Amino acid sequence: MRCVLWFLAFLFFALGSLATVVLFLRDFYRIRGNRETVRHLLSFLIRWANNLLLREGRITNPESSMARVGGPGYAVIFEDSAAVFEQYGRLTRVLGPGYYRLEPYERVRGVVDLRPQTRRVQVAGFTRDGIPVRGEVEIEFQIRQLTRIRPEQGAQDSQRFRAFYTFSWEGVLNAVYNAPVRNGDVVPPGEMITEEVSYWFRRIVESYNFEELIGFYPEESPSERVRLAPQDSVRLLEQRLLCALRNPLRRWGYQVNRLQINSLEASEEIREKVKDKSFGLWRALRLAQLKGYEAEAEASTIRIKSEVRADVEALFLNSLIAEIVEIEKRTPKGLDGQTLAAVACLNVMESLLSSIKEESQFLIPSWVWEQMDRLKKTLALPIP
Amino acid sequence: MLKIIAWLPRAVFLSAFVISLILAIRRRGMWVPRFLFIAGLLSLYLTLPLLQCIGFSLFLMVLCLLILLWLAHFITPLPRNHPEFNRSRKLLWWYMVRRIFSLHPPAYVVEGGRREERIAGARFQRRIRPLTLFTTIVPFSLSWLERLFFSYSPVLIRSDSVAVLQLFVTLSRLVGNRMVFRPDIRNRQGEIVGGTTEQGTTICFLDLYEDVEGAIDLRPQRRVSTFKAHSNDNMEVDLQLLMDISLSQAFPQREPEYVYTYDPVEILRAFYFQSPSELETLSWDERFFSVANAQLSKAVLSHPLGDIYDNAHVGSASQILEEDLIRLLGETIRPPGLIELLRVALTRVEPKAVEYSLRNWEARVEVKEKPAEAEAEAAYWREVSKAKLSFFTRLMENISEVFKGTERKDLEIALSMRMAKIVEELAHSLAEKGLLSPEAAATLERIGVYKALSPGGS
Repeated sequence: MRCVLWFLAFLFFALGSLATVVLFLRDFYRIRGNRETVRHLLSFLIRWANNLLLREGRITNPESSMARVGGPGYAVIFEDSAAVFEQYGRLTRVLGPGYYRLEPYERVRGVVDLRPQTRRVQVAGFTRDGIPVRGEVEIEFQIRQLTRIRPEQGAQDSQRFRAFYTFSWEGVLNAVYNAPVRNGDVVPPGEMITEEVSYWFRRIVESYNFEELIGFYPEESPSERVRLAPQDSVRLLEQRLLCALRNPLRRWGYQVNRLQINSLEASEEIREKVKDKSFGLWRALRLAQLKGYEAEAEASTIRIKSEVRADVEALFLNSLIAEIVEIEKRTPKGLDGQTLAAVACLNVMESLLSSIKEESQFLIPSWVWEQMDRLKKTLALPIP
Repeated sequence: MLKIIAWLPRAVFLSAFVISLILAIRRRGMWVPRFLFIAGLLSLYLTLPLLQCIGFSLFLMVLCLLILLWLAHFITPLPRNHPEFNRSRKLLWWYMVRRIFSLHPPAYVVEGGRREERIAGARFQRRIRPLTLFTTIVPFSLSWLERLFFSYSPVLIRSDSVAVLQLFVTLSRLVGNRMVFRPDIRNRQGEIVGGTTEQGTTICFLDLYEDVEGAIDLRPQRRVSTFKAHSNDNMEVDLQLLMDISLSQAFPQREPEYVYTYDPVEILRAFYFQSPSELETLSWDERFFSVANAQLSKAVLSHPLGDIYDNAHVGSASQILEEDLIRLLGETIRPPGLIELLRVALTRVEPKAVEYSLRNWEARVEVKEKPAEAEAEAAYWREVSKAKLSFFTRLMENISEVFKGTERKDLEIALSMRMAKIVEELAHSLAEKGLLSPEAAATLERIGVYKALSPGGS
């Protein structure tokens, strides 16, 4: 009994010491869980195998002791990730996919995702002539890749293709160490690149006139079959954007695999006006053709009708002259042909004036009416 | 009865032992080792006579301290060949010993440019510490005692930060992974004139009355803001300013293992560049960014809108404003560190200006549109007029045929009547449009005999 208690006393003192260290480690490094901390302490003493999993560009358990303190232990890096390791505040290694033993206090400084990532960026800007435009740019980026060289082509070990995703160690280092911090948190690469795309789109669009990008109109009429230029200008814009993004992204360790402009249009507040105006121009450029057809139709109609009308007019005048001659013969001293014509004119004018009088009587001066009455008296016509 | 009385203290201690074990299992935090030690002492008391018990207790305590010292060897985050390794190990050991008795000072971690108190100082320590100030006025020195119990807070420094330590009111050390800088002399402007550098460390221990006054982040700091500004011609614009500022340069060629290299003078400038505001202290980058914002407003104010918007400018607005801002910042302030990235973007202008630009574009389109329309109309009328001309030609031919052999007087009468007819048709068309009264229209109807005598008439 005494031996047991004596042994217990020794054990309790030893456990107390261990507990003190474990609690210090747990609190100082903010490790989640006592068991995890005990395991980590044991890994110092008896090489207990702790594992740290790195997958999809992040540490699967960021509150584990391996993530907080570092080695000793093993790092399992999946195929889609690469990581930068530090020991005692110094850069030690850049590791790609694989299973690695970590030295004491060798901890992950940063992990990057090796897979290509795609983002759709809503961009906006002003053209050189001050028209707001907007669009959608799709960008695919990835950590800077190595050129895949086969061993027989004399590649060095570091450049040999081992996994599906390759990476250059400079790219990974830049991605980890040059990533900016906003309010204490590292800006995610997607967000960083999105901001960069927005900026460069805005800046490049400023060098184009609106009609060079969107409000394009062909110099010639459609019948000339000029090749449409906007496709070329958008392609040029894509190329310029790609070139502009290359250097900034290299600074953060990334490369652009693909960039495309999905849409480019006038911004929402002016879109209807632009549409109307564009349609107006489109219509104007095609109006000549339309009017040509209309004129041809109209001319054909006029030609057909004019033949009949000219004949009828001639017939009318012919009959009228014959009638006037007849009247003159019948009444040589009475109502002659000139008087007849004057009466006809007078009658028409009177009816016209009286109708106008009803509509706007103040517009016709009184002397006009007096003149009309005098004429009627001269011609011995009844006055109403 | 006497036996029971003799066993009573042991029973009490046995129950205390059991309770200690239960509490050690159930409690969290530092009470676990404390109860384990108590249980160990009680088990010794239960097994040995008092004197032997004291002797063995001392022995086990020493053993316990040795175990702690041995374990401190593993938990010291420094390489074995570091000159500070042994000292750090001992001080970590001493910190843990003090923590058992709840006499420990706080422990800090400086990470991501922030100082974080990971282990709070013991309550006893906080209460007793002000009293120790009296040791400065008493005739005999107790500073060793003070130093022993109230100093040596561990500070863990990550590679992305530098800790700024202050002793009483003056700066004492800049501790980073790359170097430890101790300033020597400061002039009246507060600039560091000289200093010594030592090998950097990942853990340091605070001296008596030394404190972590601040932490500086070595990573590039990004600040983004959108704000309004007015141009020279009083037009309002919205701008976005994005800035990456860094105190260090990543990947210098000299020391590849230390990624962030820095100049301690720049770190100090950044530290003293911080300024307290109404609510909180503005960090150095925040303060610099606010200065940059103000200067950008001034840069915009020096340009008419046409310089930065619409087609008057040669380069892009961003380029113009960025160049201006860099110039103005150079004239105004020398910031700590360097500007790694500067992005100025025009995000909004006065809607009326946009409307004007749009109208400008519309006018340019109309330069093409209107002539095209006019040309189309002209071609139409050209074609139709040709057809009408052919009608009149034919009409004149027919009339000339009719007038052959007719007297001039009769011809004039006929033409007058034709004119009267035209006037009547005019009046008739007015009536059709509702511009004449029904009576006048009826009269015209009575007069109108030949309606089909004009081109286009029915």
